[in-house]
Amino acid sequence: MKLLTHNMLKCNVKGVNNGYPLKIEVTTKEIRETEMNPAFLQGIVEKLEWPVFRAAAAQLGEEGLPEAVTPELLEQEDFLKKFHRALLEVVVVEGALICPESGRKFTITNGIPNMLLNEDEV
Amino acid sequence: MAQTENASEVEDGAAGTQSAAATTTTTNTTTTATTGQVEATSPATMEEDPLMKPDFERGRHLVHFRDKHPDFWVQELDALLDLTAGVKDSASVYDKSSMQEGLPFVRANFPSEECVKAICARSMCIKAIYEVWGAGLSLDGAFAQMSHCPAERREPFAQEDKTWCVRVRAYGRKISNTEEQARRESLLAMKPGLRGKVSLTEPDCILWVIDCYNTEPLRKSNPVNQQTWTREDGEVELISKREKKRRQRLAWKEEMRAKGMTRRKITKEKIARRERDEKTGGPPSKPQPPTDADAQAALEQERLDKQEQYTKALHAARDQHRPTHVFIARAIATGSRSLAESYTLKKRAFLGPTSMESTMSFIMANQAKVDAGQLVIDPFVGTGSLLVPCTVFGAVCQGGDIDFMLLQGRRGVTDATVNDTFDQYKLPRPDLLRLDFSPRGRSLREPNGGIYDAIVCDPPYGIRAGAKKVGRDVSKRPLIEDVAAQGREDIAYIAPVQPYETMELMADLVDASARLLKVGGRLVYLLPIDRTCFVEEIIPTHPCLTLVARSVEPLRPPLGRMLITMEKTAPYDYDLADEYRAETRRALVISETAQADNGATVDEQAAATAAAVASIAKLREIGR
Repeated sequence: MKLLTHNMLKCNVKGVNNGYPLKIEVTTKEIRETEMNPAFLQGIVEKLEWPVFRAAAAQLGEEGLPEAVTPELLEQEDFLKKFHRALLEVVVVEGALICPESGRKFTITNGIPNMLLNEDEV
Repeated sequence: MAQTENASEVEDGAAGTQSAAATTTTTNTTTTATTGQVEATSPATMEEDPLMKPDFERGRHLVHFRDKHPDFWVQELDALLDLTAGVKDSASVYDKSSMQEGLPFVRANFPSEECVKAICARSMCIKAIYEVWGAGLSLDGAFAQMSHCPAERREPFAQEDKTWCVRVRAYGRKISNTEEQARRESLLAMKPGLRGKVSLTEPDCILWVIDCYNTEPLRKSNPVNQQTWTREDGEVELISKREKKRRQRLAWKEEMRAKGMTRRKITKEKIARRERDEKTGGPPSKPQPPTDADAQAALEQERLDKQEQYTKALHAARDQHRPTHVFIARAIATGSRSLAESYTLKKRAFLGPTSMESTMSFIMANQAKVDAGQLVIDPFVGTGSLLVPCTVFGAVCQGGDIDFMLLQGRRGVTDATVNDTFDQYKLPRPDLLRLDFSPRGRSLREPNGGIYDAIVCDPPYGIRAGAKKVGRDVSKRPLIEDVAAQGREDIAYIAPVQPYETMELMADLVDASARLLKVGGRLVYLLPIDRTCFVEEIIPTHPCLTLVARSVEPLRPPLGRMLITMEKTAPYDYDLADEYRAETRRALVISETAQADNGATVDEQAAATAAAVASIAKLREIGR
């Protein structure tokens, strides 16, 4: 699971009002290098919940992201590299996602979070 | 230019320079037949034929499509025009209605040569795009038109430092090397006015001579393809070889069914026979061909007769059907079928029973206008086939599926997973998640204004893989309480899934897409249909989405699959969510009320509703 996906996932168990953001529990992680695409990063930034992303990145050891993104920053190669690495290269391989409200645990195995709900939760 | 003039040119052009020995028979018979023939089959004047109009500004380019996927030609070109040049209304570039039955050509006027190259770099349906220098009923006619071709089109390539060559292509029949040579030499003899050197390997300008033949009459007149078939009422009819094979197969099936044989029994019998043969020393020898000399001579004679007959028929057809259009055109770019071939399923690391073949996947990515720097999701990712082209085109991909076995690889069967496919092609892996895409499993945040640029999918409709959603099939699964008693943390608990009805699945897919797509983003999905009773009503509509294109690929009759492309044109208003839901489920409701009424529908719109109901019922049947 990349942090891009984490930023988009929420807990949808019946009765949960605020299932976002999910807490990450990391057992193993890895870095898979991919080519950077500045256009993608510039486009996606306004769709991200930046504070959530920043906190998650820090938890995974990707420090140094600013508190807010300015248009000038999006032109800087240095920032884009960091942003790209945290968003698309860091992968949580084993671990879990935990709902902040209900504590429901969604396991991550082989890099795939299992967002399926049990029958009494839908 | 008047018709009669053109007709006489036909004879000149063909007879003039062709090498004598090979084609004498052809040319001799032509002189009598041609004039009348051409008058009968082609438009009254050349100006009226949209493929040959000498209007150089409106029809600067010639698009040559591949034979496969005819229903997708225009749709894909429109999507690529929008993607590469931002042309929303393709009517300004080419006229769809000008396409002629049986000819995969259309004249167009693209905004720039870069645009042509960009389109060709992605297109699966285009063979090549040319710049037309001249068109006519014959090579002479085309050459005459070429002298009126604007100078700025030819001059850049006529310079002395530009290399060039001539190539010949025929559509509708194969031409021999001799004919090709003759064609090339005729053009060279006319002196196309290119002053540079000829280069066959890396020319700056490839000048094509394209001959188009009307294919239908030729195929039918080929006696080798004609077979006789005795109907039940004793009548004998002439049918094609393929049709005969099909009928024989059907008859055999009928026979087997009558005997009470099932496929399994037949296979068993075959295996038993093979084993018996192995024990007794090989299968019984086939009846030997007659050895006596007379019989052989008769066979030989029969073969020669057939051959002669065929050649004669072929010549006759050729004589009557000269090329209907001849173009002299410069090649600008060729299509990208080879791109799809390099991702062929034959060499794929991880496959499933419903893996989408690569050409169709690329067409779908084109329809979705997937481009570099976009975010794309396939909510029914399966073996990841549809995400391959999206990744190739530079998009960041996510893949969801409800089947954990698929996502994780089928342990025990193969260790391969979706990721292996992407590693094999050295592409970035998509981010996978186990996801229920029905409204019950809404696990994706829906930021204001949507987040995805495209949603591309081949939902499992149950033909070869059943659709599932979270829920309990009471007959098969233990109650949650029983499992809960052992503790919720227990990983052995498997969230149960239940079958997902096709119509409902589509309605949910469309609504979810309206929520998740950006405005301008596209949903592209496949829908299996019965071609004999399809009605448009069964495609779910949504106030936020506009149907852009639908094209059918015929499969085993009467089945087919329809590719549906929708574009989000209005933002999703959450206050109207219930109305949206009602709209997407309209077709579903029609079918349900019909079932409740036991088929007796209200008389207003009765016909339309009945058709929809039949279509939906068929769809359900397919899904079963």
